[in-house]
Amino acid sequence: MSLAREPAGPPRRDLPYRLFGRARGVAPGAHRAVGSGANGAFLRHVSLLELPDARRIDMRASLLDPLGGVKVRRFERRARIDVFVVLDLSGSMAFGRSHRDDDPVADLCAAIAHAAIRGQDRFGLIAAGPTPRADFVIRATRRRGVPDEVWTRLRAEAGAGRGVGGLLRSIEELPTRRSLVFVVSDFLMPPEALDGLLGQLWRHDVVPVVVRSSAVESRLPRFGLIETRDLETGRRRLVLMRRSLRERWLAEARARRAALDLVFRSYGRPGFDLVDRFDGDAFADFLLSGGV
Amino acid sequence: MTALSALGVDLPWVLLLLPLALLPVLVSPLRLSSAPADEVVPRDPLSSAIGAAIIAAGALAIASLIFGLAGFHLREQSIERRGSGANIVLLIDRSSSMDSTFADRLPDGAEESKSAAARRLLTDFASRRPADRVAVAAFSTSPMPIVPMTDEHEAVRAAIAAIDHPGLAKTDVGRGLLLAFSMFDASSSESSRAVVLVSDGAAVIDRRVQDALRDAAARSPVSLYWLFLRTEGAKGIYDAPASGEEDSPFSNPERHLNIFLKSLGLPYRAFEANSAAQVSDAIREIDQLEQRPTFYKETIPKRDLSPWCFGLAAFAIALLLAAKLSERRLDEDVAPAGAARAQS
Repeated sequence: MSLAREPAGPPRRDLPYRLFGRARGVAPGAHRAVGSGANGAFLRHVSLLELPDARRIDMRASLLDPLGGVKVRRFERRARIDVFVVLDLSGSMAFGRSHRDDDPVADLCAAIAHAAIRGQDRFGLIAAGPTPRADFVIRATRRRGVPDEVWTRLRAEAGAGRGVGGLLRSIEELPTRRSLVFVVSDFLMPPEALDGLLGQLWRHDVVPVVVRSSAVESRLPRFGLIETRDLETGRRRLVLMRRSLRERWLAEARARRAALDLVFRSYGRPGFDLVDRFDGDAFADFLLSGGV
Repeated sequence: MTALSALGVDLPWVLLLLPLALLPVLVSPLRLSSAPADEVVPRDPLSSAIGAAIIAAGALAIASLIFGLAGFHLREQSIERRGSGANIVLLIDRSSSMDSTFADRLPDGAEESKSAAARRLLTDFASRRPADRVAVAAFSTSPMPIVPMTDEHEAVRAAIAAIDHPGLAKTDVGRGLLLAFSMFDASSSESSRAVVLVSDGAAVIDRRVQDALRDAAARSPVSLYWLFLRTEGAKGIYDAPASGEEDSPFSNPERHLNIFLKSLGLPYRAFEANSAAQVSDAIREIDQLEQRPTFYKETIPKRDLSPWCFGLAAFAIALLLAAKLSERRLDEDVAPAGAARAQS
C-alpha cells in the first residue's frame, strides 16, 4: 500500500446525520425527499388512472376499495443532499489547535466529509476568516480523497485575523437548494454577526458546532496573575485569578453558552460542543438525538 | 530657590536613557497566554489596577535605576536664618609671649598660658553664639588669615584650637588689623560687625599702615574690641608714663595703640585683663554688646539621593518579582482523554 492511499488523521466512522424536513433534488440518495418514487418506504396509494404503473398495483388494497378502483402503491423518494461545513477561520479559532495531531476542528470536518461521501451525499467546505479564502472553498463533491484533503489542510491552517466578514460573504456561494450545513466556529462574535451568519443560512438546515476549550472554561488556574493576549486583536489583559474571579469567569462562560443556545434554538437546533477534541460517539449521539 | 533646581545629577547624559522607562507600556514582564477573545476574560477592576501597577512598577524601576546611575542628588543649599549675633573677626596674637602665663612664666600645671586661656574662653564664646559668623586671623611677624567669615562653627572651633601652638617672635598689630578689616564680606554689611583683637602686647604701627587703617575704618564701620592680656609687670594701656619718661610709641606701644584706635572714630572698647577671670569677664561684656539681629546662612551639604533611587528600584523590582512568581498561564495543552470527556 502506498503512502498516498493511507488515510490521514484518525479512523473515521459513519455519522447518522439527517436533514430536517424533506430533501429536494433529483439525484438518488439516502434521505427522504419531496415527491414520490418507485421503491423504498411505502408512502400512499394512488389510483391506477392517476399513475398507470401496472407493476405496482396493490391487489389487496384494490379489492378492499368499496368503489372498485385499482390502487397503485407509491413509495417515498430518497434523494441525496449536500453536506456543507462552514468553518470560521478567524484568529480566535487558532486557540488550542496549533498543528496538533488531534486537532478537533480538522477531525470533525474530515469525519463529516467521510460520512457524507460514504452516505452517497456530496460534501462541500467553505472556510474563511475576515477575508474570503478561495483556497478553502470545496464545492459539493463526491471525490473520495476529500476527507484526507480536508484533514491535512485544516490541520495546517490555524486561522488568523479579526472578525468573520469574509465568512459572511463566502456563504453566498452555498447552493440555493436546501442543504445540511455544519457551522463550525467558537461563536465568539458580536450578536449582530451571529444573527447575520445564521440569518443568511435560513434556507438550510443548520447544525452549529461550538468549538470550545477547557483551558479557558474549566481548567483555569486557581490563583495567580495571568496576562492574556487576544488572538484576534492582540490586546493584552491582566487578570488576578482568584476564587471570586474564577467563579465569575466560569459563570460568564456558562451564561455565554446559554445565550448562544438560545439563539441557535431560534434558528433551528441547539449546538454541539466540540470541547478540546473530537469525540465521534458524542457527535453521533448528538446527531441522533437532535441535541436535546 | 524652587524645589526643582535644588535637584541635580552628576552624569546628565545618562538621563538620555530615560525613554526606556516607557518600555513596560509595550512589553509585559509576564509571559502572555493566548486567549481566543477578550470576551472570555471577565472585566475586573482589581485586575486592571494591578495591571496598571505592574506597568508603573516597571517604569519606576527603570527610571529610578537610571536616576541612580546618573547620580541623582540634592544640591548643596543654603538657608537664610535670622538670629541675634554679629559678624566677628577674632584677631589673635600669635607672638611667642602669648605662650607664657599672665605671670610671665612658663606654664605649669597650676597656671595656664595666655594663649591656652584665650583659646578656652574664645571657644566658649564662639559656642555660646551659634548665630554669629566668625572669621579667625592671627598675626605675629605677619598677619595670617586662618578661617574666612563663616557659619561653620566646627571650623571656627578648630581654628581657635590651633592658636596655642608655639608662636613666632614679633607682633605686627597694624597689618593684622588691616587683614581683619578686609575679612568682612558683602553679606555682613547689614548686621553688626566686630573685630576682637586679642593680644598681650602692641607694637609700633607704621605711618603708612596707619593711613590705610584710617581709610579702611572709614569705609567699613566696625566695632573694635581690644582684649589686652596684660602680663604682670608690663605696661598697661592706660598707664601714662611717669613725668620725664619718654612718651612715644616706641617706649609705650600699648598706650599709643589705644590712642590710635580711639582716633579711628569707631565704636571702640579696650579691656585690660590681668588674669583668665578678667578675660572671661571681658568676653562676657563683648558678648552682651554684640547682640543685634543678624542674618546668616546655614549651608546644608549636597545629599546623594542615588541610594534612595536604587532602593526605590529594588522595591519596584521586588514587586515585579512577586508578580512574576505568581504568574500562571492558561493551559492550552489538552487534558488526557478521560478528563476531557468528563468535562464535556
